[in-house]
Amino acid sequence: MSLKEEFIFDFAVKMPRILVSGNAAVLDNIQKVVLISGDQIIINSGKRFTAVAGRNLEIRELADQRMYIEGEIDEIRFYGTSQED
Amino acid sequence: MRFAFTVHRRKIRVEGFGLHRLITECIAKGIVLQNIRFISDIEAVMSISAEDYPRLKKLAKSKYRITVSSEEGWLPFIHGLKMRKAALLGLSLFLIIIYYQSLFVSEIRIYGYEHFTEEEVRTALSDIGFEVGSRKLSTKDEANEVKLHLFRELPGISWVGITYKGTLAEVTIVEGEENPKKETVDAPCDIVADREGYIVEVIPREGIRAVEDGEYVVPGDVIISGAVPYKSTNYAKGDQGELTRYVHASGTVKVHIPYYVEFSILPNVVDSLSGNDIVSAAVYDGESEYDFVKRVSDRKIRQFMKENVGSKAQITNKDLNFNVKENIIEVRVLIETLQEIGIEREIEIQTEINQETFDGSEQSI
Repeated sequence: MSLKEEFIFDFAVKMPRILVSGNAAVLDNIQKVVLISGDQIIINSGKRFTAVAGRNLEIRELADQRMYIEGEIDEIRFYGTSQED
Repeated sequence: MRFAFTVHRRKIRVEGFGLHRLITECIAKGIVLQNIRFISDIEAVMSISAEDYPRLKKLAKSKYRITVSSEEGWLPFIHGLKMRKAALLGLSLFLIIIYYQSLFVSEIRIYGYEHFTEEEVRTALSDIGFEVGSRKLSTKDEANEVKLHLFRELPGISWVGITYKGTLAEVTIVEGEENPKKETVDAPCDIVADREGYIVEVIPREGIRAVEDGEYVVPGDVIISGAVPYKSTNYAKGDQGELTRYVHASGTVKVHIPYYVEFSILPNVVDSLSGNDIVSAAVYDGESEYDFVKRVSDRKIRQFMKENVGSKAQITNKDLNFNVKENIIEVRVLIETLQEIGIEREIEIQTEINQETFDGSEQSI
């Protein structure tokens, strides 16, 4: 990674960031929650949307623009403002 | 960052349309939500701190219905306890009883006894009041008292230890070796010779030696005297001259005792003809006359020593002489032995005015 890329990575507060491990995921930079249900969670990071689909999804913690999700995660998608990526 | 166990938090149920909007507002306002679970599209349960709850209520306004399911944390727990005074009282009583019971001994185990029985040790402990059901020994003085009692009641104990493991008392005793019997102070006596011999060594433990090394003593001669002369240092009485102090003499006396053994050897004669002074023996093939005589003499000397001297004597020298007369070998052996001698003979004290006796007290007539 170049220095510029590292800065962008660390300070991109409007870009989605997700850390997935097994049956848990941590989403950062949450500006808005678009949809929440037991099967799907869609959040808006500012510039892009992140959708986490699965079963029995439960938000363990929601604080400081960070969401910790537990459940059977099947799919993670990133969306732009108007079209699917 | 999860709520700590003690934090006062509320488990709430939120009902309404567009729950995501409410959650978005919570994110914007910095309200921490935990364990959000969606029951349906319009219903969710979650946990929130009691501190943030009013802020959530303000955000929810009348668009959402918020119901508190339960409260958790130390504060609700304490409030709950206040409602259960009887349970609190029961718990306190229980703790008091447990603590009170811990002040008493529930079991005593005894270790280290060998010559004594466990029953004897337990009886001794009971006599002083240390038994199952009695109070634990709280001070060092109480423990010392119990230990001293054990030392008095059970002679031969050299160490006592009492330790506690909860209400179990472990008493460990260490039995010491039997003390050698102390010599009682008997009447004053001398050590005199009971056999004759040449003095080799005199080591007096009590008393003074009366003979020199190399002197010849006969039975009755004083070797270690119990009459010890001294000069009194009692300045109040002035110069009393030489006084005599009588003690129970003791010590070690070693002498050389010579023995003469004469006997005859009948070579190559049937063994059954041997007697006290005549020994018959067969000569081995190739054995010289000297070797034959030495062999037979050694056997005879061993027999003589066993019968006349005893096992404690040590042979220091043997001098063998023999001559042959008409097929009979006459043998003379001089045996020098090193032995311990000495017996006690009581001293008859002639009491005089101002003469001190062995126990240090003055005796006068």
